[in-house]
Amino acid sequence: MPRDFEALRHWRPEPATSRETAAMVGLERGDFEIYRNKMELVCWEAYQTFSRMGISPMIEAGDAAVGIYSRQGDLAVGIMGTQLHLINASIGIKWMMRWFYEEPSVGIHEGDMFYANDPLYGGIHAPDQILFLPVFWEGELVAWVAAASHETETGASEPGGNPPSAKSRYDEGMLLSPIKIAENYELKADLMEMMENRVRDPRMQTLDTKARAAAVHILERRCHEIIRRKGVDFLVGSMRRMIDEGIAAARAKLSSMNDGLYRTSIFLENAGEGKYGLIACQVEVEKRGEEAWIRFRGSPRVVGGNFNMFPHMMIAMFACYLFQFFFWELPATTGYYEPFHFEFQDGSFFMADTEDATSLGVATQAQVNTAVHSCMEKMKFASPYHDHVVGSWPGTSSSVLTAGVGKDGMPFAAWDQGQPNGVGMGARWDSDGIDVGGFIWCAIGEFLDSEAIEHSFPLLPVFRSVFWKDAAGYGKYRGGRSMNSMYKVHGVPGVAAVSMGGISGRPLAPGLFGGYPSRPVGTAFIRNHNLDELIAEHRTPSDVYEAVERVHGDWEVRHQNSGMGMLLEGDLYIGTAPSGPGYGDVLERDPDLVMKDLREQAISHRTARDVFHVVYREDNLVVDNEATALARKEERERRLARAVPYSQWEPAWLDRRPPQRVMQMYGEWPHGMSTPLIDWEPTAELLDEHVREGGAPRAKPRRY
Amino acid sequence: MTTVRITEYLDIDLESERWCCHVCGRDLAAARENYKVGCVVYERDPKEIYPPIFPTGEFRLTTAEGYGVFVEFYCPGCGTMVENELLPEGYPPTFDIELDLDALKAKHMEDR
Repeated sequence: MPRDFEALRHWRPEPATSRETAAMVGLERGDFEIYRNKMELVCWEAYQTFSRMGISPMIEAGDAAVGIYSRQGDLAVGIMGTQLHLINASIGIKWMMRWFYEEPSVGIHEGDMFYANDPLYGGIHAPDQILFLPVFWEGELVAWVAAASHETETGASEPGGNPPSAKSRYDEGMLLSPIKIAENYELKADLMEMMENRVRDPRMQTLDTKARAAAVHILERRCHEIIRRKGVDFLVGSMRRMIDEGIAAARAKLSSMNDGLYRTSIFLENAGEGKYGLIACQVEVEKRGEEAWIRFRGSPRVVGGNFNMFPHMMIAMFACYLFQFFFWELPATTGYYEPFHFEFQDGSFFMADTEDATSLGVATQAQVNTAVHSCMEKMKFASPYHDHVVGSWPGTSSSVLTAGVGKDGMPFAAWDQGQPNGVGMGARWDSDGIDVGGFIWCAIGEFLDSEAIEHSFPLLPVFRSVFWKDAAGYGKYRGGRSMNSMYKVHGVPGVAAVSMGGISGRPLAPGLFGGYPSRPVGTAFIRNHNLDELIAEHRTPSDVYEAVERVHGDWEVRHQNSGMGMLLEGDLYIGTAPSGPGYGDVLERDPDLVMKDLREQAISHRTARDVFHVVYREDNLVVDNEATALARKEERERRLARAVPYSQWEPAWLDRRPPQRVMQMYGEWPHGMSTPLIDWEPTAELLDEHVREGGAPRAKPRRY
Repeated sequence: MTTVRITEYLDIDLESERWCCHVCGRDLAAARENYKVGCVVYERDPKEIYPPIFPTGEFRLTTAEGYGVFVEFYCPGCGTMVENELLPEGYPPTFDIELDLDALKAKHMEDR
């Protein structure tokens, strides 16, 4: 079994081959720029096709990725979808080039398509499924293309693919090492049957696989068109130059920033169903010259859950910071990774065991990425890129998956992607965060229409397309607002409901420079309620506050990541998406912006008065500027009166400890562990020179 | 001009090698140390900022009991909240910005 842990270290672009270097010589400057843009547009074309053909709510919402890769498997160009998949697809290609290219029983030929989702082969988690296609020209493998997105069902121990109750990888359903699902551009019925047979929603599995196939067909066709017009060396050379220009851009940008160490401490608060308590995590970014080292430390690996992750998952997740916020102005390429180094604490939750379930490691890595983001933006502030400083996403999204038999009699397992994509972004250095900006893995995902939800699911949104008041991180600029929702099970006898993915014990991502983090999320199942009476009285609740005030019944308040329950027809559940963290001191917020918040119901009068300290008339929202200035001056004086000097405060503080009931997973105080760091650099060449340089497959013995 | 802006509320004076407040200019701490040691500190119950929404249960859409308190760092001169952290009780405040001061000084000398 060639589980190949060396391949999992090959996230960085491989050195240029002689073939690539020679191909770059003839590139004309103007031609290169034109075709770089064209290849990016080609990716967008494939992405649009993909998202229109797929039926998983995540594909429909545009949470997907497509990319064009070199023969060696390095990303030349991709689109701003779920960027982490652009990187983990690279690892999958490298694995296949090492293990299938010269394997007589498999081989890699024109018209083949491969499919994979297993983290041990470069994947993220079972739901994130990638289809790969090698691009040939006159018999030579010259490039790869890939299309990736998330299935909301994988045949795991609970519906949804992220089972919060999973204890080992064998609870996670269909985990595929790379398999050849098509030859001569035709999907193989035996393997399609196998996939359909492994999941609760076979229709979704097949239609989405075909959507991926359509996307890679477009990419292949466009690559062939470029070759016909400009020659194969032009394509090979252009791809390499895209990577090399990414390397140069990354080094130049890093060198413009101040050398030093930037650190962020965050505390996660659950590791799956029933595993609630503090988990430590510290991220350190050391920037020296043109390079940076990112170090991940934290609590010990959690045994018997799906919380842990593998290092390559975290490295792939870094793309969601790097491509969204550090290289917002350039096309996505793996070249940006070249000057970065990654180190992980031995024995920590970053170093899963191969038997571990890791399906919610995708949420863990999203939480950790907020700490990376915070370090990098603190570095960015005192740089020429100051005007692009923005706070972090709040962390992972949350969702409540429902599954069963739908109104049309067909099995289904899916969630309303409006909630995961209904996340507010972090506040910016000069303005509030973007409301409902998408989610941390993808900044371009859409908020689907309520009608689409009613059509696809046995659910009736009671309220849904509404912002969650008093949830954004407060500050000089507030975080972006998120959505809150309530649904009624409708038209079927009942559904399984799996609440997954979020954080309920405390907020996760810190604010920037004195801004507060946002609210934690949660959910509630409500049975035997009075909603029908409220509707009859025209008092239907329109947000979570009104729901709490008006809806009487049997409330089951749940941790967001509390796993599966059953809801019968007519039962309700509440959903909340996390809002963005704030930026700067609340006392510096322009009082007119506070009034705007009130008019838009972003905040309550309590928040305007007690947090922002604005004096105004509640009946017409006119600010008394003089009284506000005085109120804020007095609040600053109160701060100074009640605060104590650090040297006086620290000794007593350091003697205290959190209650033992929240420390079961924490490990050593204070940082979780004190084991050494493991450098996640490649330790060996993955491909030999013959394969790297374009050689045809050599005669080799079969592995089995 | 020897003062360099590092964050929204913090400068470093390169000559004296000291952190100082960007708002009021108050001297805070040695620039090779954590600026937080020069601040005044206040602990705040997170529920003051985000009161619970759900009336029952352990997880009520605010920070749950035992999961942390806001530690707010103010400039002792003007009371500006320079930074805050939501820390488990007793956790050491993070040394979040530790610049290579010699490199910073060299860079700004070069710029001049």
